[in-house]
Amino acid sequence: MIVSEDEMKNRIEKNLKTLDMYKSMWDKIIPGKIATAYHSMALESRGIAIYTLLLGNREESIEWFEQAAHNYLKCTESSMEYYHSYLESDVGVYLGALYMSIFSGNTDLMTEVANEMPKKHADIPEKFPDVAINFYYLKALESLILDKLDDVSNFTKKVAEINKTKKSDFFEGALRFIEGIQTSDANAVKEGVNKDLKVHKKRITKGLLTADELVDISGCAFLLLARDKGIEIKPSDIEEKYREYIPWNLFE
Amino acid sequence: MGKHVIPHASDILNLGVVDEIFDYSISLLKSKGLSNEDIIPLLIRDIPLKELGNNVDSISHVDGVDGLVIRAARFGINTEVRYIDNGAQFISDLGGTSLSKGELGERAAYWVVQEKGFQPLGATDGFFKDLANQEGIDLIYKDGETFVIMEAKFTSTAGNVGKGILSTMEIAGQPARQMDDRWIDDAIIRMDEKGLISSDLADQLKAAVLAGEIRKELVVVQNAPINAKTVVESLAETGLGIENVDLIKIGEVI
Repeated sequence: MIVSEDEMKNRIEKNLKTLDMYKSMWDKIIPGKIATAYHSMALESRGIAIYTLLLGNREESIEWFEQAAHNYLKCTESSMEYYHSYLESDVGVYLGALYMSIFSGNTDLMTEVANEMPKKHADIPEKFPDVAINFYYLKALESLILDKLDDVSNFTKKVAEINKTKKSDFFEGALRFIEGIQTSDANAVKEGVNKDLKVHKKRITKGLLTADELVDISGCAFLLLARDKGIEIKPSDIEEKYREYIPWNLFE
Repeated sequence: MGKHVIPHASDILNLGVVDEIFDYSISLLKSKGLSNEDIIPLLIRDIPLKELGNNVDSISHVDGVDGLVIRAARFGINTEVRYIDNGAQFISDLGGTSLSKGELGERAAYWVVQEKGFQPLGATDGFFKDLANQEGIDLIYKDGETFVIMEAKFTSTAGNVGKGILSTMEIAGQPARQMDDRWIDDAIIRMDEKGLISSDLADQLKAAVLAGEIRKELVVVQNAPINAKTVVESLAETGLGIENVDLIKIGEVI
């Protein structure tokens, strides 16, 4: 269901109110939940960023995307202080930070985030096999940002290997996109992004759309990365039924 | 402890050595806190005694009145095991096999919560069709000042229940284990924006998560041959921290 401008403004107000609530209750947050608090703040900041962007305020949205990336990073730093078991979900948090840094267009921040995944996390695939594919995908994206092309190939091979069993359309699309970047093949990039958008549209549930339903976060990140690597994808390259999930003013 | 003693059934426990495994199982269960009277409903329903003894740390309550209910602790998790006498009827009462297994699980969770005297909050009553099988919290209720976040599962696997029963959900390649703090965080925002819970409730839940004023519970309907398996330690891992588990053993009926 379409989200009206008024509803988006209401949601921004709610996000801001929640951020204030976190600040006011900071002293009451129990040990071990600081990471969760930063994660919550990342989600609220991401929401503000997306709605602000959709309302046409690109410059302001960029600042919120940066804020979201910083909060995701603080989340992972805090989680390492406390619990080993949080490592499993840290993969998703690092990916969140990476996506948000890509949205911000701040290359220093992107590099910082891409370098952030500490070596002590290297055993995640063995310890948490359920998220091994996500881990290797994250590492492939990081390597792509850092122009470590050999590493990109190594990690995408691992993603492809696990995906033989998992058969995830998302990872199929991501692999095609990365392949396109590696080989400077605009068609492969286009196919990868369209596949990603197909997955995005399919997962949208009934009712009003949420922030991450209104915008295909991974699809946008792919398009932004492609542009950084010299491959420009135009709206006409995207299937018409998916175009609404890309806020094109982000590319101005 | 058990309210009903079946006449003469207790005699079996006073016969002296019947069988070494049987005797071992009885002494094992007694070491977990059971009396002869508590063991009788287990014998009547043919519960595998040794398996039960090996899968609980202590048992605080056995009730054999309406079906069999065992309250036990395992790895610090409060585990309530319900043996349903007529599993097919139970499924029918929930709405029948035309419902998806996810919906049956959610309705069973609703039944458990009502049995305990609580009411679900927001659109989390197991009858909200748009919610079943979607990415969200299955059921939320309040126990005093504590918010309870409940996940419902229906499984045809007979083993002990561990964190593997909680799916790793993925959005844009970002994984999050169901019931992990960060998954809950995301689910609250999602449910608020979808209008499934009020914004006030969403704020209260967010604050409660950070203040440690929530409890996480799991309801699992086990559609498998009757056994005495319970839970494994991974459910109690910090970050996941499941405190209460209700296992509903219906036999293999679907």
